[in-house]
Amino acid sequence: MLTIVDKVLFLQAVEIFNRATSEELALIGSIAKEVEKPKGATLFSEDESADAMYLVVKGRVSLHKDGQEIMVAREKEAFGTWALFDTEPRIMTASALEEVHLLKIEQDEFYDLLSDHVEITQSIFKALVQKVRRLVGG
Amino acid sequence: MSSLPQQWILRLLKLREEDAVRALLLSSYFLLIIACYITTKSVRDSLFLKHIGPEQLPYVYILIALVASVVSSLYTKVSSRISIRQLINTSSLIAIVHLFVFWWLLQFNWSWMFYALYVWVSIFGAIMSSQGWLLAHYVFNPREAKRVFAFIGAGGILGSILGGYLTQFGARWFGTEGLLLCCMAFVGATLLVLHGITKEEFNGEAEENLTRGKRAKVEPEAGTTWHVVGMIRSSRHLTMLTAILGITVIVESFIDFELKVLSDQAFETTDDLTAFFGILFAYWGILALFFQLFFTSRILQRFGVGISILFLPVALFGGSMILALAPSLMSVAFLKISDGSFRYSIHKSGMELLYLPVPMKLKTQVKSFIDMMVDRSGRGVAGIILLFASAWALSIEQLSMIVCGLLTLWLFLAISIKREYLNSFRVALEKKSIDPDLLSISISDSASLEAVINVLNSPDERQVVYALELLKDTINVSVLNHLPPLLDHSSPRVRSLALELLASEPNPTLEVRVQGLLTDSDLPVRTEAVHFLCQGSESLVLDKIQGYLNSEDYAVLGAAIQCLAKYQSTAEALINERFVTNLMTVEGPQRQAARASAASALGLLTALSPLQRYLPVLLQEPSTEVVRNAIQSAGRVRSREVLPLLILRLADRRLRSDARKALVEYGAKITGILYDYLNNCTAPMAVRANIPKLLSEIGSQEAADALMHSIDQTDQFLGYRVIKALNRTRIQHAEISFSERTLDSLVVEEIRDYCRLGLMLQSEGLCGKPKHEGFSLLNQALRERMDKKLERIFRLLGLRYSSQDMASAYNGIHSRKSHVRAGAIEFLDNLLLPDLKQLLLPLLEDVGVDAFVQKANQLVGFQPKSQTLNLRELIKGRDPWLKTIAIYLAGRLRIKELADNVKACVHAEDPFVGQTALWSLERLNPSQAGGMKG
Repeated sequence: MLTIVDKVLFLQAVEIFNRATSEELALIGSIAKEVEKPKGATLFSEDESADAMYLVVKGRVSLHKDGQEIMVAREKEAFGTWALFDTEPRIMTASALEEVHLLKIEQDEFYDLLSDHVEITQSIFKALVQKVRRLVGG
Repeated sequence: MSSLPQQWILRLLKLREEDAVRALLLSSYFLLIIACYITTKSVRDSLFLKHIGPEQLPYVYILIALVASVVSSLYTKVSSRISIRQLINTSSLIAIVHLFVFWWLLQFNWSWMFYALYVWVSIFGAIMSSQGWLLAHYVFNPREAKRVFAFIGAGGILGSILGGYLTQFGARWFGTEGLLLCCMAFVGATLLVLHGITKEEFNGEAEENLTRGKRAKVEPEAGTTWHVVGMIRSSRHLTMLTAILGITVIVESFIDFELKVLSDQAFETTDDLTAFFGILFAYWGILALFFQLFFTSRILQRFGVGISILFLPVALFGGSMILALAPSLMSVAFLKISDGSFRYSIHKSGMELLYLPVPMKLKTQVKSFIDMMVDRSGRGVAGIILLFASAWALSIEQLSMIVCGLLTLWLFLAISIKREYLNSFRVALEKKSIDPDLLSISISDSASLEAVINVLNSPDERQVVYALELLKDTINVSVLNHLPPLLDHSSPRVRSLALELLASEPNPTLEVRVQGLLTDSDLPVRTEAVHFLCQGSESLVLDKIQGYLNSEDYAVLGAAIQCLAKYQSTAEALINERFVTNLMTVEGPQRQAARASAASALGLLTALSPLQRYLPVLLQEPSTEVVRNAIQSAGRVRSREVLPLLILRLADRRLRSDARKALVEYGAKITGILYDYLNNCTAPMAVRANIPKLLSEIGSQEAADALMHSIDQTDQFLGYRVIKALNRTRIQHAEISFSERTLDSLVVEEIRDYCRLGLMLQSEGLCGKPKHEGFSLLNQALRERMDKKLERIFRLLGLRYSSQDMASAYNGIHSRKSHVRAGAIEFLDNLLLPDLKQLLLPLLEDVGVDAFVQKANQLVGFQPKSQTLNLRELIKGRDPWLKTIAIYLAGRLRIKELADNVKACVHAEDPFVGQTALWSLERLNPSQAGGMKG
């Protein structure tokens, strides 16, 4: 089982949280649940309603669409991040390539946390703005 | 409840019952103040003319401009420190003493006394009148202001008539100087009226505003002169407006001079001259009142702002031409009466409308600039021109020709500004820069009204809602004809607003359509539909409402309750035991709707009603809608019994906002209980975290004190919220004071913490080559803490000095540009007290690590420590997050020396600390950890 500090060390790698302070990451860590899945397990399927994001603690996860692998998420890499902000159906399927240990953050709990900690909302906005600026070349 | 004659009078005066007493008192206040001003003005003018002579008037105009600048600066400083009630009381008492001193000193006939009296009366008039309007803004909110300000202004006009006649007769009865004693009585009477205003049971907000002041809302915001000049120059509309006002002041001074020269020649004795001025002001007032009552609104509605602002310059042009051709006392008196009567009726309304498209923030700055700078410099310029005119021995005819020249320019600008005004108004409508809630005048001008009505056809729902909000106090036939199509609008907000406006003049032919809206899916639409349908005499309204309350359709029943809540002051007769009990006993699919209605209905009763026993039950219902209605009712009723339940609802994000609003309704009396919750470590953090903002919204001295005593929080987020709430309180309530000594000691403590963290960050044991990535995290956390400490220091300084200045200094220090950083430090160097400066500035200067360590050591006497000692200090410290990381590192690196310190944290209240300590102890001493788990 991970300590809160271990969780923070993992969450630091998530782009959308890169403007959050370590203490804010600890609060996000407190709602991150540890999930373990065997090799071949499906974490979510294409067209399923999106309700959580994942972060790989150990192992590898394949993200594929129509039988074609789009990417592989490795240790300290996040996937399904936009599920925190959007409930649109998933556009890919995620399957464990080996036994995996993950952190899962559910959308409902995330919103509850944001409503109690507006500081985290500000950090996420900053990260989003940074990302948009980068995308538009600003 | 008012009688029929009372209702008739109120309708005639266009007043509402709830506004009547306040409006009457304020109107009386203006009557007394203006009567006093008119009398003192007549006294000073005649005394000055007879003892000094009109040739000295240009000097006195310049003197007024200079003295007013000094007095205004002093007055602004004093007025920001005391409440409005104290301000008016003090000014009035000073005025009474001054009047007595002038009356006594006048017997010595010292020449300087007449200059002093002249200047004093000008400043007295400006201050008392501005205080009157300030008081009016405190007593009435902007929407009420729209209804009553014309009535209050009429009190001022009546004051000029009263003052004029009193002067005419009084000068002969008591002598000119004796009138000053009458003025003392007038000012004394204003103190009684002020007492009446504050004693009257107004709405809570107004009463609190009076006693503690609420400067930020009504006073102009600070802005440098050049900044405001820049803003004016960037807008063609404002440039023309300023030019018109500048010319107006110069022309007024010229006419004043002409009048005084001719009247001095016409009257032999001082008392006759005083009486003449008195009757002049009385006629001026009568004409202004006549014009205001019968013509102003008609002219504005029919011809618009463009024509309304031409009346004064055209009348003055005509009068000045007559004066140029045939200078006589009669012609100059006609000129002066035209000036006064149009200036304070149609011209004033027209000029107010010209400000309509100017955004509120800009308007307060520009108006303040114009009131102070343009007025004073205009008078100064007029004085200088008149000095030259005297030197060249220009005659009254020649002066009148100069005035005609100025008036030609004025007319040109007045004609041209209409186009600019309409352009600015259209832009303001598009940008929604006119705030309907802050609009203190109705849009009565025909062209502006047409522009707003056109917006009702906009495909943009927000634009239509905005236009309807603007039209709320401008209901006339042309507006009403455009509203019925909006009843079918796709937006419920548009439908409800259209109904609200239509209900002010209900049209029976619309009843069938409105009946259909009783089944609308939106509650506010149904509420307004019930309101529209329940018109007539009071008993008829109650019968109709009763009918809807008996409805079996809870959608209609709920709307009737909301309608009662919004429009009816008492509902005890309708909401009785049987009604509420019936709703509470409904089961099945209608249970939630019935309970939601019951929850709303309780808000219509008093806190003492036995039916309030249902409120705690409803506050604990599973349905959010029921609880929301119960929370709103609790706020309305302010029942102490449900307070704990209400406070706990702060933890629920769906209901938090409603709970906060309801708790704010309780006001300062719940500060104690909120303080207890805020500082109770066993209360849910989600509740505690929302209390600082709540206390800042209550905004009383008690709430600010409670926040000050809660600054020291173990939870960093909570502590930060407390300081933020204090900053918000400071900005919104300038009258609230904070103990400077406490603030200084808090700042010093924060500086010490900042140094301690900085030294720890620089110590070899923590910043050397990291043995684990946990050290990088600890480094990061220490830096974040230092950043936060610095922010806290500046936020605390923002409570002692200007918040805006401190925010600018803080941002400057974080700038990437070295000259901006240097500027911020220089600013602090000039502002801070020596002790604070000595502690803070060395830490802010860009001096490098070694110098920082040296200075931090000098300042607070800390020494760099080893890694273990640093971790121990953090584990024993009060900061839960730094403690958590230190405990983690102790376990991860298996530092056995720290096992006892870690063990002491296993049962910590903070879950991160406790859980991490247990994990760490398992690695440091597994046997002890096993025992602790058990």
